[in-house]
Amino acid sequence: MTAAVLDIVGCGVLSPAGSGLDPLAAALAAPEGSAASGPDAPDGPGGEPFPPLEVRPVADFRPQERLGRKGLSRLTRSDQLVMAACGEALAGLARTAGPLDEEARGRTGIVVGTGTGSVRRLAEFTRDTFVQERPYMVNPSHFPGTLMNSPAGQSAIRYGLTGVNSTLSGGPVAGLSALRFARNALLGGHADRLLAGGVEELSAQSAWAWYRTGALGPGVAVGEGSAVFVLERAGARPHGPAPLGHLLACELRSTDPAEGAAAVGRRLAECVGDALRGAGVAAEDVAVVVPGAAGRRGWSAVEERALRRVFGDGGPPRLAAQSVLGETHSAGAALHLAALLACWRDGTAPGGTGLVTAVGPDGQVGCLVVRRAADAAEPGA
Amino acid sequence: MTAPTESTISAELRDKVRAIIADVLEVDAAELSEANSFADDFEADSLMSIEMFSRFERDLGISIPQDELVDLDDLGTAYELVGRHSAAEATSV
Repeated sequence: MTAAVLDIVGCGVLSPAGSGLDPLAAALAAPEGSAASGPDAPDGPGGEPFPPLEVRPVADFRPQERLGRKGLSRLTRSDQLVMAACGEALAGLARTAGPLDEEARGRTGIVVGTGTGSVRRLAEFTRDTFVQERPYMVNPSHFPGTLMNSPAGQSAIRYGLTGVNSTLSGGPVAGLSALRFARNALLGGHADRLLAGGVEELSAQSAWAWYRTGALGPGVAVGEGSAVFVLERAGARPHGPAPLGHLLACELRSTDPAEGAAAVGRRLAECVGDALRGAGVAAEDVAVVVPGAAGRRGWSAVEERALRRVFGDGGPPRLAAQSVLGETHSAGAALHLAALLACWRDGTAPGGTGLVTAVGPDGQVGCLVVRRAADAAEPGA
Repeated sequence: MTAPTESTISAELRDKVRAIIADVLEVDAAELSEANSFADDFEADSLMSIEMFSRFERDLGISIPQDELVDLDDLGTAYELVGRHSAAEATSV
């Protein structure tokens, strides 16, 4: 079984709580104290006017400081978020194990889960093609950012990572799709190290979609962020630093949404059951559940019913990170895993084994099973 | 109004052209002098030239005919082109 386990040896996290795991853990411990700023904050997304919804941009983003000014205006916010998250993850890795040499960079890649890439860039570029009078008045240097794989591609170019580079689209399960893809690629020997996670950018365009569809649960903000995890095959570095956790299983399923929400819920319960069996973990040994759909009207109940089907009434405590993050859509699953690792490191969530779930309105469901590292690094290490 | 002299561009318009170019090149306007080559000094590429012409038209309302769209590489050429066509537009009104 250990052959199928991956170590999470590092991470880069940008969330509405700030950069890294520590501010996330602190905000989750005191969600009332976490200050929400608006879209027009200095680091906020700006752009078109936002609908009257609470929004939570990434705190202390400062892309110019992190990434330099050159080329910044051509990058989408999604590009910048993933680039900054990968930069943070690589810097953490370099602090503990030294920088990656050229050979190692050739065996290191990036896997990103997203909805459609940068919604804002897609919307603005497409609009320009209709409203501008001449073709050259549509900014050509904004075209690359309309592509879904721009964040993963731009980040790989920036950091010289020439290994596997993939982008998976999938709404709320996108982060799990990326982690599962990375897991298969690593276990299949296609790479030695992958930075895998998800991204969601805040934009007026997507905020209006949340507002008009009424898909958010009561009092839930629209958030954004990116989390990437440095994954390696378990024990690949026997003398390396203690990992943050061990990824035991990551499963995805889908069902026809026309069969109704109850069918989607049953599929999630099956998926969780399969993942736990695959990981060799009994349901009663799961110490904490991070529910993916807790911020979504209707779907939170579907997910909760599925969890009760697996764990019975009550079951392990739920860590609903939406109180701090807001609804982060395609970054959700990755940010929820980050929230769990943050709380574990901080000692504010029950240790042992955790379950992260996700449910998409398109009938996609997924979950991952993660175990806290026995000798997890101390906070700030 | 056919002679492309420097006097055809006002100081105000000159500042606007310079600000647009600095913005596209992602440098401070103060870093940009008439001696600079956009390509050699600021890693400009042909896409950026198109972006500059597009911004002249969108932001300043000055359109440069297609056959004069060159790979813009220095401030002098930009002033000359914008000056000439802003004068042309002013006289055609």
